Amino acid sequence: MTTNNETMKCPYCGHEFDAAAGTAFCGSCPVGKNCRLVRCPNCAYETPAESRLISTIRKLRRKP
Amino acid sequence: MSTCHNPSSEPAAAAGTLKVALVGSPNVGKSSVFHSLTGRRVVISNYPGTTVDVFRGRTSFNGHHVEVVDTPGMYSLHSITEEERVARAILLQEKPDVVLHVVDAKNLERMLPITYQLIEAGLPVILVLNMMDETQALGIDIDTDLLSIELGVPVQKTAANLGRGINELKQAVLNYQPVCLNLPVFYDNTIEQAVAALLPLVKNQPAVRKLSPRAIALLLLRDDTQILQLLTDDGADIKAIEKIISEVRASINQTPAYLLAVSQQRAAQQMVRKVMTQRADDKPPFREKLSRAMMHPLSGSLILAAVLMVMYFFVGVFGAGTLVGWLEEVVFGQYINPWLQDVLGNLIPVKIIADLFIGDYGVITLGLTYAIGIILPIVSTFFIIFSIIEDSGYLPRLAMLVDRLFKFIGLNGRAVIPIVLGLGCDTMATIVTRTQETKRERVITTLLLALAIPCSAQLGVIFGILSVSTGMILTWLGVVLLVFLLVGYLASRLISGERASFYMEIPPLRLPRLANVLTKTYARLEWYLMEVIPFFLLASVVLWAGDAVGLLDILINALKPVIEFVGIPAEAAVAFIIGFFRRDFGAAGLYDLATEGILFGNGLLVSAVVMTLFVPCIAQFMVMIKERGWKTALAIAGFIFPFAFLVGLVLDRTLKLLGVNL
Repeated sequence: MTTNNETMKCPYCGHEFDAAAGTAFCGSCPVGKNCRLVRCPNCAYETPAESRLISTIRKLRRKP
Repeated sequence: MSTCHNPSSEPAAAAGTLKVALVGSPNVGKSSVFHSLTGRRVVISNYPGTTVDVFRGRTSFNGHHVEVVDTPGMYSLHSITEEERVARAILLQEKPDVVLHVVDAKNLERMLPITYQLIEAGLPVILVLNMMDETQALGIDIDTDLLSIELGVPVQKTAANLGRGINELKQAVLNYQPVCLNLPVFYDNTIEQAVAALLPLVKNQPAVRKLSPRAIALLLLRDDTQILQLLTDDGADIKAIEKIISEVRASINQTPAYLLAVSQQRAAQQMVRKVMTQRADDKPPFREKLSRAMMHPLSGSLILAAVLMVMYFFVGVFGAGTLVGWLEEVVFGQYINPWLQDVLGNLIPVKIIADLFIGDYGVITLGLTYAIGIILPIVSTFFIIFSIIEDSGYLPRLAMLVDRLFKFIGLNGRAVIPIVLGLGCDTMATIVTRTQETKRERVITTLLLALAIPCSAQLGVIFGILSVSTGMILTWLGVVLLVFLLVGYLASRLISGERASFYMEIPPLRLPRLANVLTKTYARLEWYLMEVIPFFLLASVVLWAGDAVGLLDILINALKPVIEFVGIPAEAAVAFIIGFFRRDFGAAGLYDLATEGILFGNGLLVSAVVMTLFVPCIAQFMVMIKERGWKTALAIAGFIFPFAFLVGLVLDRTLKLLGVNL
């Protein structure tokens, strides 16, 4: 799913995109506040963003 | 017939800074070509007025200043998505000196239709056959000289990820000379006559200075509203244009867009036969064979059945049986709930207040027990298997498989995206129906999502409830599928409007990585619990309040005769009422009744079917109003509520008539 912190690969169409660009529709959704799904700008498929816990663990592991 | 690509006759490199635009479908390695050309000196910015990112890079090719623009992925020059609109706007407004059409060489047949469209549009095209390393590894050879002669445009081979062919491509850009070319595709006579009739009406319009008149005529026949608007703004004779288009539509059985797509596909097939050869000793690898099998109607259906079977055993038997049995019955049933009932019962002497936490509708005994004890293990197992399916690349193949089936109900494979998403959460999926091409498709998909697509939690719980019998789960699946097809078919006949065509790139099959699957499952669970737990607690409070003031009893008593009439025990009325809040909450209520032995046999099956078809949850209903408007949303909900019970009634009576006792 995630190739690094910024780029994501859509599990549906394989399109690689900037995770920040994948939230264009979210303003319309009533459950958007707690939602951590990211929408592929190519096909609109949604996939969960990397959890903060996992990101933190990943960052800690990267440190020497 | 021919088209001139540029009125100037000088090489493109002679005139100041060259502007090069990269176009192509997603997943063809366009970004790799872009980075190879620009050396990663890149500026990313939103295209004006949109949220679409456009990558630009300035560089030099042998001392010539060059600006490279990477356009968003497009499947056709006829724009449907916002990305496609931006890609076309760049071609129209920025007038690049050279357009590099990057294609995945091993899938040349699927890629050529856009090449034809770009050539028809009179754009200065160089065809870039990328991923040549993978193509050669598959034993595929492409005669680029012949392809170049046949198309009338330069053709370059690259493997951009390895940096191969990039210098030659740079040289081809510098050497590019506008030429008059043969048109690649001749269409059906009706189409060609319509194009001929449209040409005089469009050829002197300003919009046409950017695209060829023939391309404009073809886009008008594809019902391209953006082009029609441009011509309207330019003061073209729109009435005459619309008259020609409606005459064409009336004289053919299919839409013009369909005929154009078929002709382009046929031309691409013939071209590939001429220029592409596969070495006899190189058989397609297993991955390729499996990929084809997944999309074939017969083998694809068998593979789908196997996938559903695995899902049934993992989610229904293991998740909803073993895990829920332990969590709900042992952890909550024997330890947490009795202990809390004991402690809070003593701490809070007022019964009605104590009930808020530990009563029949208490936030602990109902809300938390359902959320953690029932829903959590079921959705966890479902998310694990769904992540594996996602990461394997099976979903786009499933889309291709069901494309035929969806055509029967007036939709196409594009509708698979919201439908599959609906298996996760129907609320999000309803928003995604925006990606459908026509209003008619959006309405049909919204209706089917609200009616026959259970969300992940509900699906898991339904699997769990029905895992007592394979016959029960197959009957449930059959009834829901039948309703999906029947309602879709009838809706497609009743709702008027255009039918759309479907193009999609298929990414390669991959072996899912365990770390990725677990990370995604965790992220989904975190998202789900953050959303579901507050909602379950709030719903428990509302139910407790309703119970305290007697409103719940009134509702239950009103619903009882209805559900008893369709063969469901009266005790299930509460589950259906809480199903208004969330479908999975209601399904969890049924699960509870099933484990208590109150709901079983035919009644259990009928309950599961009615609950699946039942009205959408509050969040989905709100989104339906927002996306489709009050009238459509109310019409959909007004249809679904009695229809769900009607299907339950028919199922119950049919089972009784056949003497079936599950």
